[in-house]
Amino acid sequence: MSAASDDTPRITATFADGRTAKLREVELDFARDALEIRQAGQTLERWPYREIVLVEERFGDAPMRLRHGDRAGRLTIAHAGLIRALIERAPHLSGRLRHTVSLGGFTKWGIAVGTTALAVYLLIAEMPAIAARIVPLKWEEALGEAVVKQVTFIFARKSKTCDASAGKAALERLRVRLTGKLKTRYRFKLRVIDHAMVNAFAAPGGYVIVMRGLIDKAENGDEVAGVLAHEIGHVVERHSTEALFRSLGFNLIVATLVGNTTSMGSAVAEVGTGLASLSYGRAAEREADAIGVRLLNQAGISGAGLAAFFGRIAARHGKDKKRGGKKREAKSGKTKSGGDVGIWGYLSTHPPSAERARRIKARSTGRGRAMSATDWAALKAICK
Amino acid sequence: MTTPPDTGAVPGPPPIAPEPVERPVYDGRAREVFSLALRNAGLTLITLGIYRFWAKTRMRQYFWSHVSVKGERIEYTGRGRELFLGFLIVLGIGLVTLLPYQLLLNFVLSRNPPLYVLLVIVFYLVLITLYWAAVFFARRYRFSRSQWRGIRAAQTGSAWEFGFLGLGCTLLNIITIGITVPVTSIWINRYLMTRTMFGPHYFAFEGRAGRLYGPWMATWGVGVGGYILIVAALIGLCSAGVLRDNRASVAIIMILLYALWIGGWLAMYGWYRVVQFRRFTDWTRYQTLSFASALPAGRVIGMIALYMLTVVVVLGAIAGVAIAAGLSAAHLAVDPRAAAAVVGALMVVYLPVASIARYLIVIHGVAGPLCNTLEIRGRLDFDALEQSAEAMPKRGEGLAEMLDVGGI
Repeated sequence: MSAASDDTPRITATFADGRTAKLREVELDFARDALEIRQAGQTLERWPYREIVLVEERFGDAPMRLRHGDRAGRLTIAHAGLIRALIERAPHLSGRLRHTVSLGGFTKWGIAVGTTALAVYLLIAEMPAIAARIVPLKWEEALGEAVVKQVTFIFARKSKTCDASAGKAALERLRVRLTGKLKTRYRFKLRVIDHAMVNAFAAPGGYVIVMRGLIDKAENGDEVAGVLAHEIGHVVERHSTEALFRSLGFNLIVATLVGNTTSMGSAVAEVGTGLASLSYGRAAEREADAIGVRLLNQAGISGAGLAAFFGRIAARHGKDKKRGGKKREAKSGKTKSGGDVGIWGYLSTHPPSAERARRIKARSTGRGRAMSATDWAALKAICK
Repeated sequence: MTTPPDTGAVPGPPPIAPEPVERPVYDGRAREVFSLALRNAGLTLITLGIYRFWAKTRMRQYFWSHVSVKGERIEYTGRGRELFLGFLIVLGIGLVTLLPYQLLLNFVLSRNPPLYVLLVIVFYLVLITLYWAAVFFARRYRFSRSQWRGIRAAQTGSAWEFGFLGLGCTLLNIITIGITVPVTSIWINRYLMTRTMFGPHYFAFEGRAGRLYGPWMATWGVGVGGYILIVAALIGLCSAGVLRDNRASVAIIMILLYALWIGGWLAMYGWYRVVQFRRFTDWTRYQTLSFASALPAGRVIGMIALYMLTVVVVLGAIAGVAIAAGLSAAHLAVDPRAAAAVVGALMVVYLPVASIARYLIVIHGVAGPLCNTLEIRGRLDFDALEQSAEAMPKRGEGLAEMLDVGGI
């Protein structure tokens, strides 16, 4: 019984059956459970209301285009009265377009989303540590070399590392003292970069980079030796290699999310500079501290220098931050930390704490100095 | 040529043929495009970019359905999830190939320079091939998802075949410093067009490079000639000793000249592309139908210039704020918070504005003139056209997405 069609005016709609491009002027009959598409008294197709799908979002009084499930046939209704009559019987057509969803679709979706989440997790959380363990030493050294080149290019005056010969000799003596007894696959390469920032960091493959600012702000060789020993700890534990892989994975994910491959290609170069600003997390810092103190102890160097250095720059940083922060706020009304971190880069990656200083002091057994007065003077002049 | 028989339905540019002429109509509204693009930008931002596949699909649906031919609207049947899955697959392949490749490069860099150079060259050759393959994949997907009166379009052919054709053409253009561009563009378009179907029939395309050489050589001349002029100006200034005394003003003059050259060349190139589009349209046939376009180059160039201006203004504003806040390049490299702030500003301000501007200015702004200057001439029994028998590709465009191939 096709009821309710009496009061609906006999206005036509357009129908293409999906087999040929023929357009037909058709009449619509609103049966109880299905829309009947009729022409010249014959029913061409019956579309159950629940299976009718909006083809596209409608804007304003645009014609309504409909399909039957996933079939190719298309019905276009322009007449407002017919559209209203249809929506009365198929309310889902009034809102947003809805695609027919099958269980198989859900499964596929679940697999796709799950795989992606797993890939992202592995890439950021698990792979870096594994990759850092299995990467051949030569590759790691090559990576480190690339990082050093990058950092030197960006930060150093004249784009080269400091190489005053007396200073280099002093640094080399310190390296031998610190790492001479260390059993490791790495050959350590210590480099000084001519930049005012108080910073030091490890790069993959045995590289430790110190910025001139750190040597300038250090009061004696013990402090520099302490920082170096700590960074050597990072190298031995492969923290920087791991961080590089993590950052690489992260970059790849971001680059791909935004949909741009040019940044994918240069991801390695980008993360190189990022190393200077990476913090490895508390556990890693504690590990590096422990190795650092062990190296200092083996070399007979007092750990007090490292502890004192942490304490002093922390105090100084706090003061600067108060003063500089106020001024800057007054001027631009923005960024509380902007300027300070530039100079005190080491702090942003090595948050000094009283607890850390205490632990270093407690474990330290060395009593000697890291270097002679002449060596210390030479190291201070390494960039001249 | 033979004299046309009196049937009237003769393919070929007709002088004054009594053929019916049909023009597509674009009736999109700026307000609707804007609100749709705005909503999409917001959702894309919230979902960290994931929504962009669905956003793109909605925009295409809007633009497709607001173009009608012979009173019947075109339809886009693609789905966001198809784009998303295609993207995921390419992402996966990219990760497993690019990462080891980058590590390999770093390893080889200092140890074996010739091998490094070779690897980089191979990388770019592969990249160019992939670019053209991506163009093909994207086109095949879009065509298979486009229908009119319930009948689908289709792109047949092989993506890899096309990738190598594109690679060959690109290399030829590089070797000839661009002189072969009209010829290769015809080869490329012929490959695509003669394998494009609507329903059961292929399109036909017959191009004549000679008709493109005038406009192209003018464009080419502005590019190469302008460059030579700039170099000559610099040498002249240097040898006259002007440079020594007025370094600053010479620098300003050079920058202005350079900007003028780039701007002029871009405008010329835009004009050439429009001319090429008009000619390509002329050279395309479908059964008994021929096509013609009188797309005004000024409108297209103006819209693209407006879009570029918008982008530059937004980027300039972000850079200005960053500089005012005391950020420098060295800062960005060491301070994760500063870098995050700038990246954040780019994501929150630049990406949405650029995307809205692109849809509103470039696509909406050009769609109108594009449609109402396009003529479809000739008689064809549309009712007899049958559904395409071509299988539809299951996933879309992943590669194009990764390689940033342009288009809607």
